[in-house]
Amino acid sequence: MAFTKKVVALFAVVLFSASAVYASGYQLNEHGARAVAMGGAFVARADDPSAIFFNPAGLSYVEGFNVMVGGTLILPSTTFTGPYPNNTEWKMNSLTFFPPNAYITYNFGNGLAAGVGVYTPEGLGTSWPNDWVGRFLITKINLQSFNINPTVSYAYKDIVSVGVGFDYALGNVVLERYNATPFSDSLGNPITPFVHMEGNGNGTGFNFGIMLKPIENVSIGFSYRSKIDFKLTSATATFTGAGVLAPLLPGGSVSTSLPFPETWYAGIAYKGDKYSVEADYQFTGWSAYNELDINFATHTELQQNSAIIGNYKDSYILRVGGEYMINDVWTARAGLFYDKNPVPDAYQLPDLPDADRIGLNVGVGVNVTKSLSIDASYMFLPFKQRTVTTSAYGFNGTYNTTANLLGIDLSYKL
Amino acid sequence: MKSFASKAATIAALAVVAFLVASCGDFKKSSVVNAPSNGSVDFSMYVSLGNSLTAGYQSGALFESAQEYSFPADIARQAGVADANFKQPLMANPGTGQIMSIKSLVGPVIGEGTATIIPPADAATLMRPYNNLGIPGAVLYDMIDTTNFTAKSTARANPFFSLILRNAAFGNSPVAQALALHPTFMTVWIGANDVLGYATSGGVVGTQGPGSGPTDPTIWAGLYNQMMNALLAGAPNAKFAVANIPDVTSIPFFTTVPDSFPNPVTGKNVGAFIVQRHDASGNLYAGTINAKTDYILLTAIDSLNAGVGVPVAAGGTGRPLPDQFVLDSLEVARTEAAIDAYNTAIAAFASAHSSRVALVDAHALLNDFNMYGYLGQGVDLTSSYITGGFFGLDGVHPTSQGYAYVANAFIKAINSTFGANVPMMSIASVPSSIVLGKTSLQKAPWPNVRYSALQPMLKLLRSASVSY
Repeated sequence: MAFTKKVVALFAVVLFSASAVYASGYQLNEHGARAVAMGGAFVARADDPSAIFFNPAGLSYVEGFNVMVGGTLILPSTTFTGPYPNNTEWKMNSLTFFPPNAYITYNFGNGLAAGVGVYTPEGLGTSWPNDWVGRFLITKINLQSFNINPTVSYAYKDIVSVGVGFDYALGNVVLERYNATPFSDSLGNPITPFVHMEGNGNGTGFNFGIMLKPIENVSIGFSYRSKIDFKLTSATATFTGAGVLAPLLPGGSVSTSLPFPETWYAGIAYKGDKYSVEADYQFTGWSAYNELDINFATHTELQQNSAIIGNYKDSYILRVGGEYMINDVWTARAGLFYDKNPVPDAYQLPDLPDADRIGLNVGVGVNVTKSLSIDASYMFLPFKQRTVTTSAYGFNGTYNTTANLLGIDLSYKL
Repeated sequence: MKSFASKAATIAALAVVAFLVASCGDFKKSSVVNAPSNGSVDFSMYVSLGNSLTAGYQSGALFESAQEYSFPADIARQAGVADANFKQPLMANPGTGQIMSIKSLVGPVIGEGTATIIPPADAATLMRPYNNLGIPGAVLYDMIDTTNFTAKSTARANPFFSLILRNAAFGNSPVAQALALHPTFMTVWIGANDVLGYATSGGVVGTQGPGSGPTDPTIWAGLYNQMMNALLAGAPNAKFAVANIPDVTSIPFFTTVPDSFPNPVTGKNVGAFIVQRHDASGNLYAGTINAKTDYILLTAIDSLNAGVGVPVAAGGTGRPLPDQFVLDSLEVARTEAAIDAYNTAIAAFASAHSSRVALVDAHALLNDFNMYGYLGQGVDLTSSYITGGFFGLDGVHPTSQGYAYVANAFIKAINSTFGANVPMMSIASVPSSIVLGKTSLQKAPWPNVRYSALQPMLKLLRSASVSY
């Protein structure tokens, strides 16, 4: 009898139905130890080589030929307590990150300056124990990216300067998690196929900045970075532990892309003889992250495309900071910021636990010789405790995160 | 101007600092839920009374890895009861055997394992009743029936009465054994089999044997009050959680088989099945199924595969599907009327004793679940057969994850009635348990469930033949 050919998809278990690959605030703003030590409030001054990131218009005020190299050591610590209303605490695996930065600048002396920067404007990494309660959402995610950012600037009579740059982003993404199925093997062991997805991606964008010095001692800065569509070009998925389901989970090529959001910064600074202070507003266009589509090249009853809802909201950061020159060798710095998170409660996931946070920053600058200086910064970054009870992914609970960030940069001036 | 800018910057900085100080508490780690608490419930002697749903029966069998996730075991674990203090009649895998599994995803074919019975290891050494007195196949009357349970096991070809109750010296009925333990807390979920035998036999075999219906609601209510009054009086300090009867027609046993045969080329339904059904005055006739109101049972698949019930035009024999494979509108109405009446009695008893008895509305729970499913921690459960993950392969009993969902409903009711805060089960932490033996996959009009695979469960459900 011909009873075997109809179209009831009895096995349509969509493996990626409840996962976000990329989570919240994967933006990094730590691209120069001096700026970081002042709470990142730097757009209106931007007078060291990291101006390439903070405000390219500032490049014209950086004299001579400069090389600046350094990075930021990030030590995050996160716990998840739940699933709500349970009190079980799960601790994220301890991880360290060291996004580096490097800048080369040259000032032609007639108001014209040029430079190139390499840094990591987007990045994240999260790793949870393999047996943790959210293993069907995420066990590991890692986004590493670099921007290569050639920049030119021009200043007119110390009153106004403008800068513009081109952004090329390239990087690598890793995602790992278990997938829930209703099945067990004949010994009663649950079948939970593990997926490892990895791929390289790239994208392009641009940036520009303006700096005004309308009156003595006061400067105003504005800097804009465009959105970058970061496309994965060679991503593959590999399933393991699928048992008898393995033929239905061939993995293979995956295509997806995620936005690096549009960002602008505006600030005002006051410079005294031995000190300067600044207040900034930063806007981040996170609403660009609505939805992430993961498309397999090969489809089976089990291996299906999926769309992941982000629904992020635009957000902002408020920054204040300053520095004080103690003497010709030592400079002391301090700053703080308030960072509003872009992730609605319903879409908060353990991929990158996000919450409103404050950054408390201190740092020093040392002029070791006439041409060599070292800047160091320390940031304490406590997140607000965040309790989610309305998760669209059925993953309710309480997140607690703090991070310590140590930054160092070496600058050499010719 | 110079001093103005300087002042403005200072004021801005101070404002931010003030804001941070004001909101500082938000950054500290603090518990947002109350500490776990058992409220006014003493779980030190927890006894569960019921049928297969209480025993942890799943996919046509009772076996240890399923019993570990019976809903009473879940509750005991969540309430912090030590294993040693909550004894279940654990039957080492494969327990009663005949565990249904997916033999092939082509079809897919659902079959059973080898028949065996591995009695609980401590059956002879545990000199007291088990805490989990869930007896697969038991109807309400069996809870208070004091006739010889060994003889009853034999007569009903249901081994569980003697396997679980074991020794009449512990008590000559489940209720007597429960009370002998001096319970401090009890769950009671009984009565589903008073309609399930009838419904799963397509209305052919009722509680009092072939030709009878579901247990008469008036008798049922009387028995229920008798049982509950005996429990409340016999354990005067105990608290109770009682669950009502779910709508049995919403389980995969009734909802999996479509109502017509799909054209293999177009996918459109071309041949509505021909079935034996009752007319309004109760007479059986052969005719086209009423797709809106009739259910074809999971047991019908062997027959459908042989072309029975399938119109000649669609390649079938044109012979009607026998009555026992169809729950028609008349029988559905009779089933639902019985469930509603039972639930009215349960609700009345619970509300009359609300200080001691928490009511778990399993009927509403399952209806909601059918509509919305469950999504938690990356585990997505629906009421679909096989892929839904909530119901095991017998189409009636939940999987371990499904039982955890049920346990959470009990815990919720316990917490709200008795001021407790027993933590919920995390369903992602419960192993998925539908046994998959084979690979490859083909789309099919219905899963190829062998009738023989359903037999162990059906035998239990149709063996009651109670006479009051």
